[in-house]
Amino acid sequence: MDCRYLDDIYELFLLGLLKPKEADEVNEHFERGCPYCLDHLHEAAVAVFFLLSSSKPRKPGPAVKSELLRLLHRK
Amino acid sequence: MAGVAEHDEEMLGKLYDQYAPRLFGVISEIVADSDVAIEILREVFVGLWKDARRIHLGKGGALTWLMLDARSRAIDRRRLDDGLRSAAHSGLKSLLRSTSWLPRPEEISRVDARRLLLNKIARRLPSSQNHLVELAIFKGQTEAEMAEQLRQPPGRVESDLRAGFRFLRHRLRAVLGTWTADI
Repeated sequence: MDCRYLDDIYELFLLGLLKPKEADEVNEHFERGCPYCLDHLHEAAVAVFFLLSSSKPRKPGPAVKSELLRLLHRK
Repeated sequence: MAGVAEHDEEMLGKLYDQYAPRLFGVISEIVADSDVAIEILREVFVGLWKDARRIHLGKGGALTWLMLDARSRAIDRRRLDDGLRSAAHSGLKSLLRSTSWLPRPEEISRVDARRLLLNKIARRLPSSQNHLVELAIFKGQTEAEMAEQLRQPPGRVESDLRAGFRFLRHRLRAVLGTWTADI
């Protein structure tokens, strides 16, 4: 199957910004294990990682971690 | 990740130390209120704690997955606070059936190691496209919402945004060494 017509929408798919019809189409290919779509989704994930990780890291206060661990301990 | 899947609190603590600053950076870029950002960060790790057994994330994949999850939660929260509908669902959960699409650890390291060069290249993106990419990434706006906000024809926004992502994808391929054709 020629999936090249989907080339420009994998990033938008990962970001949840596609129109439902387009998203369903990518999802169908993905569920079928389409190797072309998996490869391109992989490339899109690298691009999205690059963009998201351009945010400056910020260290949350130490209390956040201890509170989180306390919360998980109770679960 | 295996330790987290076994509900080992010490391992979760280590993962938190490693990833929390980057995740908190992404969340804070999207929501301005620190308390809300902390709440979302906590939700991301609680979600991981609950789902780790099921999702089998590799080392490199975990960071990308958590970033996507953090972004998605922060965008949903921001849109809710702005009185907007939740953005179209990305189907992130359905993507967990296979995680082979997630970046590998060596790719994450390569992106980090070449960040200065990649940033320089990204600055060559035409400013109109760059603006649209930022609206997509950090505001979670759909193409239709961007067109409305910028008072531009939807078709133009769609083609500019997609061209912006194409530009970045092609340059990343070139810089990360996975591209052989001319760009």
